[in-house]
Amino acid sequence: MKCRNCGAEIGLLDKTCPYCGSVNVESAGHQAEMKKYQKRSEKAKSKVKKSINENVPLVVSAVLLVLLIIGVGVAAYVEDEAALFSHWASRRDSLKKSEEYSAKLIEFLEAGDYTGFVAFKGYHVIPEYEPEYQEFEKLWNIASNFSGTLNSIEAAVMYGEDAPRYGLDFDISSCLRSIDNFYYVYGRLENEPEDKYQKYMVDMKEQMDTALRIYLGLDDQAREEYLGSSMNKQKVYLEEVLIGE
Amino acid sequence: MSKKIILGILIVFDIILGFVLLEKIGGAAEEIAWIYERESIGPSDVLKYLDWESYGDVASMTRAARTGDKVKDENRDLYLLGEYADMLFQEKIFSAKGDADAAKRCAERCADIRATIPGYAVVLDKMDWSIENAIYHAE
Repeated sequence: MKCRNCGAEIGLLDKTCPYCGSVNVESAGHQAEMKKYQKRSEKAKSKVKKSINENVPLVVSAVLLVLLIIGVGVAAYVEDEAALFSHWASRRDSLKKSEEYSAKLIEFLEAGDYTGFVAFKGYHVIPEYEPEYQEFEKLWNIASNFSGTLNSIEAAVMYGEDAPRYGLDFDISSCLRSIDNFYYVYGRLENEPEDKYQKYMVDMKEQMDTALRIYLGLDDQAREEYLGSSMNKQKVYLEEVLIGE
Repeated sequence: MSKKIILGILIVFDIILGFVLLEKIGGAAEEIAWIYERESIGPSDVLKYLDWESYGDVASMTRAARTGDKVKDENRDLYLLGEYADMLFQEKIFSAKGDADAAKRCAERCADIRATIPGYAVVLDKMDWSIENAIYHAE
């Protein structure tokens, strides 16, 4: 802008002209305007700040509510699918610890504890078809049949004096099927090429023969006759032994 | 509706959901930690079979406990009863088969369990009777 007195070029904020010293009237007005706008601006700013401060708890609560809803949903899903998560975790774990678990499985085999062998595999969700556990491939099938058959016999014969024996029919039919299955599977595997675990398979058969002898009264000859007879005859025999009919 | 009322409602919902979330997290953690016990061998099932004196069922149901299953302390006795029945059953097989070492291991474990839970002597005696009765019937 120009000085009204001398016409020299002066700044808008100069209070007096640096050349002639006369008062710059426009600057005073401008500064007054500036102060007014600054004041307004400060007011607006504090209003906005106040408004923000007022709404912060509201926004925080709303965001928290959304997060909590998501959290409850996720936790409920995990709770419902816990078995699945646990199953996957155990499976991954059993692959990671394959050496340790294989050693443990061999310990069970060495001790002749084939029910423990099966229970350990089941509890740790050992994936039988993975290369880490393929060495036991032939044993899984026969051992699970062995364990199931012993369970059936155990359930059928081990009861107290005052037992109501609600599941007697089930126990008898379970024994009937599982004994038949075990010897069928054993007969099939027996003819396959031998592997280093063959001795455990043979031991399982010997344990089963013994269990049938001491708990079901089937010595070698009687067992062969029993296995060669019809299902009806087998059932009649088991009823005789287990119920005394 | 004033902001204060909205804020109040939000806070109430936050608190309620907070409790629900804590409960759900606890439930999920428990489900994962005790999954086998809950899924397969719940203590109520074991108790039911003990009531029915079906000791063979108790034995096979609790078998996983001796192969690494985690069992809550409060249910430990129930699983020991199952293990006793299982060991007893197997001990007779090993003895009859002539596997003296295995039979001895089972017998020792049975003795350990008897010493650990003396309060259940009556139940353990019934289990002994059941196995002798089974062998007697088969002879």
